[in-house]
Amino acid sequence: MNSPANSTFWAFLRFETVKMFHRRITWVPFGVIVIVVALVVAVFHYSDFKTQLTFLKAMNLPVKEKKDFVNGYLMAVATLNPVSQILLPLFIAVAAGLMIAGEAEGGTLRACLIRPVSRTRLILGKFIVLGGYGLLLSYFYLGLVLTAGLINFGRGDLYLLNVFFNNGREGYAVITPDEAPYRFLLAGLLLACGMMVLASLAILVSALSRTAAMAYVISLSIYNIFLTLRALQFLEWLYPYLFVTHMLRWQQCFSENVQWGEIYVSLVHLAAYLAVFLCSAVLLFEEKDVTS
Amino acid sequence: MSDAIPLLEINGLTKVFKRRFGRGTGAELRAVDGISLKVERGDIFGFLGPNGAGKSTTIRMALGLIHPTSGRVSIAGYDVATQKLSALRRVGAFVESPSFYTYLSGWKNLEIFAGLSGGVTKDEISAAIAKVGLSGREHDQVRVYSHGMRQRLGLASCLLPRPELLVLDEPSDGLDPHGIRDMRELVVKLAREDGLTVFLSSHLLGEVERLCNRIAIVERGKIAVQGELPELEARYRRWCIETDAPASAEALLKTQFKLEDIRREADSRRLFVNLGAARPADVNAALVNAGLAVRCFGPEEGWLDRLFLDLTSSKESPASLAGKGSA
Repeated sequence: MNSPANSTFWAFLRFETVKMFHRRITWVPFGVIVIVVALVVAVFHYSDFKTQLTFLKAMNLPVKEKKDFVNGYLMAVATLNPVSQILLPLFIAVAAGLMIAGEAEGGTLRACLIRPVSRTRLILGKFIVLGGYGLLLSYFYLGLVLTAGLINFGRGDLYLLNVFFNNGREGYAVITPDEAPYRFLLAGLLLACGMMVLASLAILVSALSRTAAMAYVISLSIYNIFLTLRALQFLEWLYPYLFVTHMLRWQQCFSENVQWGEIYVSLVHLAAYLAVFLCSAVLLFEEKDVTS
Repeated sequence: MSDAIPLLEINGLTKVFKRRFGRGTGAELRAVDGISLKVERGDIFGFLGPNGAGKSTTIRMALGLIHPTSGRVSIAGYDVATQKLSALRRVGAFVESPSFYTYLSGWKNLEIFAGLSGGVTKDEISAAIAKVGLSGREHDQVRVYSHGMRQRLGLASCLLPRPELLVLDEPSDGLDPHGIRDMRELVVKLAREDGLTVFLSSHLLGEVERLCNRIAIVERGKIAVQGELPELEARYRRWCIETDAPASAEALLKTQFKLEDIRREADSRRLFVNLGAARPADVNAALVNAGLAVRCFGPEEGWLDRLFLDLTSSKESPASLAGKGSA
């Protein structure tokens, strides 16, 4: 047997994973994603997309009817905004709430903390597992929505109107079917990075909360406050400092040309936010009295 | 670590909680106030006190869950504040009630909790399960376990992997009489056969009297009394004397034996007397020789309950009450 100090962290990660995937609620998001994708397929089948068609024609783009621009890639990209801004953060906040505050509520956190495992290791271990869960959900969603879209609507040029997408900027983008998969891969990576930052925020809040419900309400409230600030045009000067701005940087992957400079800047910002949230969680949790 | 070092040593432990939010911000609550005690190897130490006296806070500080305001705790010589992991490797504990992941099996729970301590073999898990009498049910989900089974599983989790000190907070809490007896027998077995030192808090004073060799009673955050149980019994246990003339008997005891700690029970003929150094046979003979009809003469039943109630329900400070026991 390995020495206790060496075996504990890997054992800890394994046990956190076992705990997470034995909870029924962990599987609920996968079911929700399946339902969302099914609904989107149905909407794309039965919607006539008149407004978009009008816009595209007005811009002299070579589209005459729905089938010219409705394809699997468009379906996937059209759902990315709501899923990445609403559903994935919700799932991650709930999982984080259950991981620490939920365990504190149930008494199992104190049962762990009276074992020879450091609080820093506990927070980092839970973050790694939560981050992995966020990554899994992001790619599960992307994989499913692309597969369902391509099966139902096939491949084609990806026409994107920035007025509907890409934060309301003017203009449009056309991405070729050969390039689209790489854009989705890159978008998935950036989306997952954003979800890791949200996971670190949710872990911080969960470490300081008494109940799981309190943890995910507070996490989502903070996230939504920042999203609201991000939507106020007169606060544009503040955008570069908001973590949600950088969480949404995956939208850049669907511009005419990928702005690599902006993506690097956002990755640096996301890394800094992650470090700040995670270090705060570790420091505050180390000092916390566990009275529950 | 040397056997001479106490397995658990608490020195001047104090915890002051400060209210940080809402009404009364800044108000302080002194939950634990300068508690000191030692648990030697081989002890079964009873830690008693009413609800809110500071027992659980003390135990939580001893296990590193709560940071003390001042004072020091060491386990097997390791300081819990600075060498926490080394200290906790020597302990198996549950605080308030054993808690589990109810959606996992008993076995998986044990694997997880033991894994946090560095891991154990399957044989060791099986042995712990057999020791607490849960064999055959270990692969059931904990959600279907009865309260007694959860307490047993809690004890099994304390045994993994190989602690020197067991810290059990209310191990018999909520159990029926059979469960209480089984838990007592288990704890005794672990102490005698496996040589474990036990520190337990409980409200069940009869159980503590049967189990423990040393006790401490805590009240309002302070130790009111502590010591070896036989020594405390000699010091605090009264004798019950029932006679036709309790007033005459009381006067005789005061004049002839210089006994001061005498309590007359209202509306009865009984006296409860701390005999101190006086020999019971001499006291009985003196009463009979004085012509008093002694109907009953014997050691007080439930003396620990009475001492506990005296110390914890009085408005007097526990320390001054404890001082009334004659040495």
